[in-house]
Amino acid sequence: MTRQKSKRAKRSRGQPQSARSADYSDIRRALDRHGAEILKQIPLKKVQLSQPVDGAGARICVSVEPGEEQKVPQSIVIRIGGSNVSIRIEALGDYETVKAQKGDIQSS
Amino acid sequence: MAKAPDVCVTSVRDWVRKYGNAVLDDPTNGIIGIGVGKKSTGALDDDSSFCVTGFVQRKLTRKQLKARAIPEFSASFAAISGSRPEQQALEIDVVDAGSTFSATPKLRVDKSQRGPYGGPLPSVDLQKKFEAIRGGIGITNPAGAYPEYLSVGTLGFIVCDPQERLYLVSNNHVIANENDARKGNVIVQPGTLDLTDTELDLMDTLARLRNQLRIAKLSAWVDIEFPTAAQIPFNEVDCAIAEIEQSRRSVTEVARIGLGGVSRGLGPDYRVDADSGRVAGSTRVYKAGRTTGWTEGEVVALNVLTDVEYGAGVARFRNQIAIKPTADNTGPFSDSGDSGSGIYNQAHKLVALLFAGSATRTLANPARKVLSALGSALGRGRLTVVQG
Repeated sequence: MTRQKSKRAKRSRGQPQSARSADYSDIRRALDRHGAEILKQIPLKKVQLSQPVDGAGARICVSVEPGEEQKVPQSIVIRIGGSNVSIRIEALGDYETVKAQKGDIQSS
Repeated sequence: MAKAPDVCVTSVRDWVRKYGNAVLDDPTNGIIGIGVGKKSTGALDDDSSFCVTGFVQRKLTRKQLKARAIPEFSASFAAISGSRPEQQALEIDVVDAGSTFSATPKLRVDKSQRGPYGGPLPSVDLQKKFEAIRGGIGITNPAGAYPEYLSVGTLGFIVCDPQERLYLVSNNHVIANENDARKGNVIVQPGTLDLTDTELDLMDTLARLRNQLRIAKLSAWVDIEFPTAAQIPFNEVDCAIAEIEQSRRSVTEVARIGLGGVSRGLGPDYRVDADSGRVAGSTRVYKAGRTTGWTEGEVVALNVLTDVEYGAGVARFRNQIAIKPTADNTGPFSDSGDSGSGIYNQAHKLVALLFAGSATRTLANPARKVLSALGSALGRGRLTVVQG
């Protein structure tokens, strides 16, 4: 299974010639409307996607568990507004479980 | 059998009052303090005799006293009062005080800890019962759980509808119990998790609790959608709204955010600038929450897509705001019990609704999406954030 995932990750690194590179607006649109499509191209279960605000290039940050970074493709292609757009992916091994922050206990 | 005190305390006290100053004024005797004590040097109610106690910095032997030409206390006593202690039916004792007596050192703090008033930073107990409603204080919907389960979240902010009815806004999972509530459920303040044992005993049923602590009635919420066999739906908000019962508590402070000043209304959405890739304007944010109080953070990512763990299961969210505490913050930006907090920008304008967090990050719904979704769910027209 892991081998299969690695192959998928490697294959998707190739960028189709017809795809243009994403700009910052594409990143926002992709995360807003194409979340399911992006997740399908990342062969891992524990994944968080986000748009960094550091100005270091248009990309999606993908947080995965430490050691799983290699399984994340370096780029993905999705269709935005009728054209193929290639999105650079930055894999980070900083996945953390997110929990709703209500405080509750069973009464003693 | 207990031995009766041999010397009356009154005669010792009178001697000290009469001659105490003279003893201290004599620079040759080394006495730094004088008082009424016990020959045993024990507690005043033990059964030994009362005596005139002289305190010295360090007790010396007779030989050392002689070598330094310091008179013994009995000689000094006799010189001042005209006769030796035994002739006056009094006993004396010398006690080693270890040092001179000095005033307790004044409070000193590291300069970095200095607050606006010279002490620690001001704070407020956001877990107590408030007579005036404001953002940042502990609340919960106890229906279906109390008294078996205790819970608390945070009152985020106050809005009003076109008819000027006031509502509090918090998370679905705080006041609508993850879709499991009913319209009209009573919201109580403080949260049941913050009640003392005595208060829990006094309000031992849901009816008694509601009667004592109610502040609002649940009006509407946006369902949190959990995955089904067929699909994993995306959520964008975790929010609910409850109409404030104005007869229950004062509403004079509805624009206040804990002790962090007042709300200045609704702020703009965060947008990444299409050229620079940075957020236009400041990314510094603040919140007041029931658990961690007033904290300072930085928006570090937008359009976050992630799974979030609830009691009822895992739900998927998109378009969320990720926040990290600033270096100036002494702990996390939020923790359990802070759910529902309003998050404000530097201009004190509302930008987000806190609902979840991980070990290092806090997640929040964009405020404009929350207001729009609650406005639709409530169906009473446009909602406006109350401001001071």
